[in-house]
Amino acid sequence: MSRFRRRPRGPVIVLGVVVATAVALLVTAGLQDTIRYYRTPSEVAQSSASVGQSVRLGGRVVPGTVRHDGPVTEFTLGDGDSTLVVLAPGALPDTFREGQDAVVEGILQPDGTFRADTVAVKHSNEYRAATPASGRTPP
Amino acid sequence: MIAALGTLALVAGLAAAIAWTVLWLVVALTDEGLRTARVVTGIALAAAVGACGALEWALVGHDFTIDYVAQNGGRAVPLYFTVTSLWSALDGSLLLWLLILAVVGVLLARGSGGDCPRHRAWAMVTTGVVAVFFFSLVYFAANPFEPAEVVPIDGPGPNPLLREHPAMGLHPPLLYAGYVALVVPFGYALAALLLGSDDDRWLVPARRWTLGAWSVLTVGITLGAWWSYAVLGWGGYWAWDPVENAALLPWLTATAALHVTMSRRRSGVAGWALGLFTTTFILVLVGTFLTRSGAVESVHSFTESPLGPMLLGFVVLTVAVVVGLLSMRGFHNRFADDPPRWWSRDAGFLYHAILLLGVAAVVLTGTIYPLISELLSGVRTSVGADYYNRATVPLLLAVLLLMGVAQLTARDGTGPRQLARRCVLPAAAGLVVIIAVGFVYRPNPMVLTAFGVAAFVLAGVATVWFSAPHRRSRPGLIAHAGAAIVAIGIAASSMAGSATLTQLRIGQDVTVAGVSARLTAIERHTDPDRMTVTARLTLERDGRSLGTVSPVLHYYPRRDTTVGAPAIRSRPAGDVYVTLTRADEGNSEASVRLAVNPLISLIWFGGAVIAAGGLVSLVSRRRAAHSPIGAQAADAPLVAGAPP
Repeated sequence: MSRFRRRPRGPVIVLGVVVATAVALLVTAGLQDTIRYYRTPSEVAQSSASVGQSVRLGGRVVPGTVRHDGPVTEFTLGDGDSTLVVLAPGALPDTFREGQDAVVEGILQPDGTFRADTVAVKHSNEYRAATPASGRTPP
Repeated sequence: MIAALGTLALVAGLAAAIAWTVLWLVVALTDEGLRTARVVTGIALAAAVGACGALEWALVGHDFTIDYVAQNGGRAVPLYFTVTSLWSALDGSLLLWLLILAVVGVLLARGSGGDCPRHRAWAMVTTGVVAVFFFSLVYFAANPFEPAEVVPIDGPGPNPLLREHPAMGLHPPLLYAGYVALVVPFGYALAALLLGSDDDRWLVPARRWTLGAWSVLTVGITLGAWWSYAVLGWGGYWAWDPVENAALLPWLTATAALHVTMSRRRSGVAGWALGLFTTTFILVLVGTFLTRSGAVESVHSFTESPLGPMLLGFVVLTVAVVVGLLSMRGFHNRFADDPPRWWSRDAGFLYHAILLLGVAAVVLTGTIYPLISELLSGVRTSVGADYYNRATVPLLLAVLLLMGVAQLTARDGTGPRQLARRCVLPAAAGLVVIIAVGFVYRPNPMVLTAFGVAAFVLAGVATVWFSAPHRRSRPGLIAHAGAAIVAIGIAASSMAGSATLTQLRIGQDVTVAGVSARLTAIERHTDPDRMTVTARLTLERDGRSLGTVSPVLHYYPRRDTTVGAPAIRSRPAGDVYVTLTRADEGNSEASVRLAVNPLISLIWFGGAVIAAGGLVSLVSRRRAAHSPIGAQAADAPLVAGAPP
């Protein structure tokens, strides 16, 4: 292979190796506790494996279950089979409505409730131009 | 009637795209039939215009017999947003893809093909294959002219979020234009692999196309960030959403390609350019697959329509073709006789490419991680924004630092000692900024580094700008200044990040970072297709009035959806950003989020400056090409000029 007869690109190769290593390290370190497991209420009901884990929970807000209780809002998310009580901080925005799909992120408590730190409303599954999870609310 | 015309246009377009591919293949093989091939390319464009026109006609005329119009049209929607509804849902947005692809084809087909007509012809074949694929995709899997099952009297209008901001008319078309035009350098790269000669003149048109596409893509991404900030009301501008990442990934590799092809000896970097051009377009296809197939939502949802498998198949096919051709021809980076010295600018371009590829690898990993993990273990996960912030920021700072050093290097010639001497002044500027900002604001180390490195880059730009007799390096310097400005905007706005969400009664106020907002009224208003709640707040800083702001909440009964629109008061020092999140029935109490985002508008300004650098380079090179100096020998630099 005459093309490879000389390797004049020493610094390029060294930097390539350095960057590849850095990327590998950054990716593995970065993924450490930023991965959120996506679960449905049924999956949570079936196993207790996700207790204490950082979970993203998707489901429909069961109509008639939203209660404002001082600094906490309580509502129930369901997926047709199972339901789960979610506690979210503060008053939820008006973009959050009963009967609609919502995605909450937070930690599943040992008592079976879900303590959410973010509540996102799912408007539709449609294409959204460069839109982050819509209706995001500040934690 | 319109539906039939639209479908007919799609069929005609598909036929024309097939003919386009075949006829340009003939041109590539025999050098004959150029005129016919051009005419057929024009017919494909006419068909794409016809299809888009038919759908626009149906949307504007509220023809609810067409399913797309029934889903996305509405009688009460303002005309502007009815027109933009063409790209506010999947099927229509693919029509826009097609239209832009056909425009790109016609532009590429113009003229004689310059110095490398055979490469051009092969690039047209590649573009034709992509056009055939997308016409079939629209026709077979996402035909927007399907009839509605039930014809409604009125439609719900487009997704409410997509009718809140005028940028909706610019951001998607620009983003798509930049995205789709990247097919041309890819076509040239495949042509070079197929023809396999030592003729590297194809790099000139490939680079020019990349420059144009990249500039437009830069504007599109910046507008997207601004749109996200001005519409979604979550206070941020970049959420590392798959849709955003899909646009960013090819931008990163295209940036790398633009740098590598600036090398003094273009024959030395042909292999790099091949790799980067092909990677860029593969990332365009991967991004289209990720965002248009529903694969990101869940691996299992993407097979619900034939769209996902078709797109995935095309990605796999493209990768197979590229890998096959590369392994047949091999890389040839012919630096052998005259390798660039490690401190030279040519070497700097390669370092820069490696770092940008590193950033792209981090972003791509995060974007497809949920997909891979669901495929392998069945567990659905998502990767949070923290991952990206943590993993990309160090690499991006390294990119910025390298940028600052590289712009001070000479093309060759100067030694490391001279380079070190040139670094002294900018480095001093960077240190001064670090000390000053560090003492006054005490930000975290990453933010502080960003300020310092950005100052280093800007000071370097200034010294080179005024000292160099070579004006032609200025476009690059403009782009570098833009990148530094963006970095300052990101760092400054992340630093303070002061925001609070509070419940206010009429007359009460809340203060954040010296800015206080007093709720004066809550008003309700009903339009034919939506209800609006407006909160009126007066802003004050140190006793000085900043005027009133009116954040709103819109409720769309036909979609049973509420969306909010923040109110933003922009001042040079920063934005006051007010969001209404809820209002009680009695109009006496509202939840308001008040945020002060220092220097955040520098992000949009810097993005515009980066794009301006690209456009200036495009225009000035065109002028240079007509002058005798620009038409130099084959091994002339791709971008003329550089600091001494």
